[in-house]
Amino acid sequence: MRRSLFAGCVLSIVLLLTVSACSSGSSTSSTSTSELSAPRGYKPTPVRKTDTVSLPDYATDPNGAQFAFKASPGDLLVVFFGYLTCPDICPVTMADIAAGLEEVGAEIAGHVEIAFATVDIERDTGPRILDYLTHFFPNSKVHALRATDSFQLYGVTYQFGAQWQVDPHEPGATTYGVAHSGLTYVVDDKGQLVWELPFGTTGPEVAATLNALMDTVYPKS
Amino acid sequence: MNPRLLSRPMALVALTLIAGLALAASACSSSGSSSSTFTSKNIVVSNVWARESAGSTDTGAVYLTIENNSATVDKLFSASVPQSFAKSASIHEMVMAAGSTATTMAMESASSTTMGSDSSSMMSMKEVASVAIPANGTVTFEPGGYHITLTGLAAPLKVGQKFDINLGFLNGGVMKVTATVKAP
Repeated sequence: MRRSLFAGCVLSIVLLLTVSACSSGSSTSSTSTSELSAPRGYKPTPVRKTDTVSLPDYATDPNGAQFAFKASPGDLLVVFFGYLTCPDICPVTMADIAAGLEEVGAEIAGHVEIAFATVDIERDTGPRILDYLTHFFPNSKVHALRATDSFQLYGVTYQFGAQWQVDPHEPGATTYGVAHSGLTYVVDDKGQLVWELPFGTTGPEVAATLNALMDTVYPKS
Repeated sequence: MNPRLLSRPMALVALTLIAGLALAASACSSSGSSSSTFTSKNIVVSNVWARESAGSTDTGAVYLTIENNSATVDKLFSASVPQSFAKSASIHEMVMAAGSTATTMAMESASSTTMGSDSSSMMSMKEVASVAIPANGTVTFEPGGYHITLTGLAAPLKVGQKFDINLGFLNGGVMKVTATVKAP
């Protein structure tokens, strides 16, 4: 009798333990792919400089401080052009990059900065972009970028080779279509565009790419 | 540990442990893969989920899997949620859009890169009137493809939250499914 009581106790403890392991496992199930992923994307040629253009950054100054597209020394700057009411492409890309940073580890992740530049300057505000970035990257240095007008934005996207288009709409309209290229750009500390990731690059592939870029862009000699 | 050295009570405990683990593992896998399925006539909808809202954004996307177990094609032609939950729900598809003259010029400046045609054009969302579900076939709404867009959400979607959506099928009729909000 005592034995079965003991066994019952052990059983319930084991069950409890496994269930808790189970629930924590399910939250990360989306990233449970093979351990070794290959880097994805391509190196743009010829070399394009991006620190010749800048946008107001609302992460450092509530009134927007000009930020030239260049990483801090030894860092990689990850840049995406999107918009906040984007239902699918933008949050998927942000989630994939966040998963990549998680996987690559704090050492490298600490040297990756994330910039999100809105192509929907009418609806998106600097503080809301910062709010959005903080949701995905609570531990990263972020840049919440919003151009003051479409002319300034176009100058920047031209330099990156990014495309965007806001559908014609009545002034003050809240629902209108926005199209944009789904590429993610990586810039080094010299202000050079060193890599482009296609849409759909998974977390493990982001991690593999960042790992490889750190080695090639900043070789330890 | 040598099993021969196990005393009787220890062996009992070990056995219980193994049994417990097996039980828990089976419970785990069943709950993990198919949280809940919804059936109406020959249509089975499963894995209905939405991503947690990012910051103060009021747009959401719902993903799901639709299985048609009949010998005739069916169509999903509507999706709706209560007005108090979100201003609108509509079926969207991610499409590649060609750039305008101005933006195409931007691409030409970068034309030396070997971009695939997929990545060089723009992505946008197109509302679709209906989505065909092939006879004895399955259509999966997933990131980068089809999704149900929710606009004007009354409150941000939180992880673990559940909400109902009504789906209208040509042959399958109208059915209520429940979406679960997940982390990115």
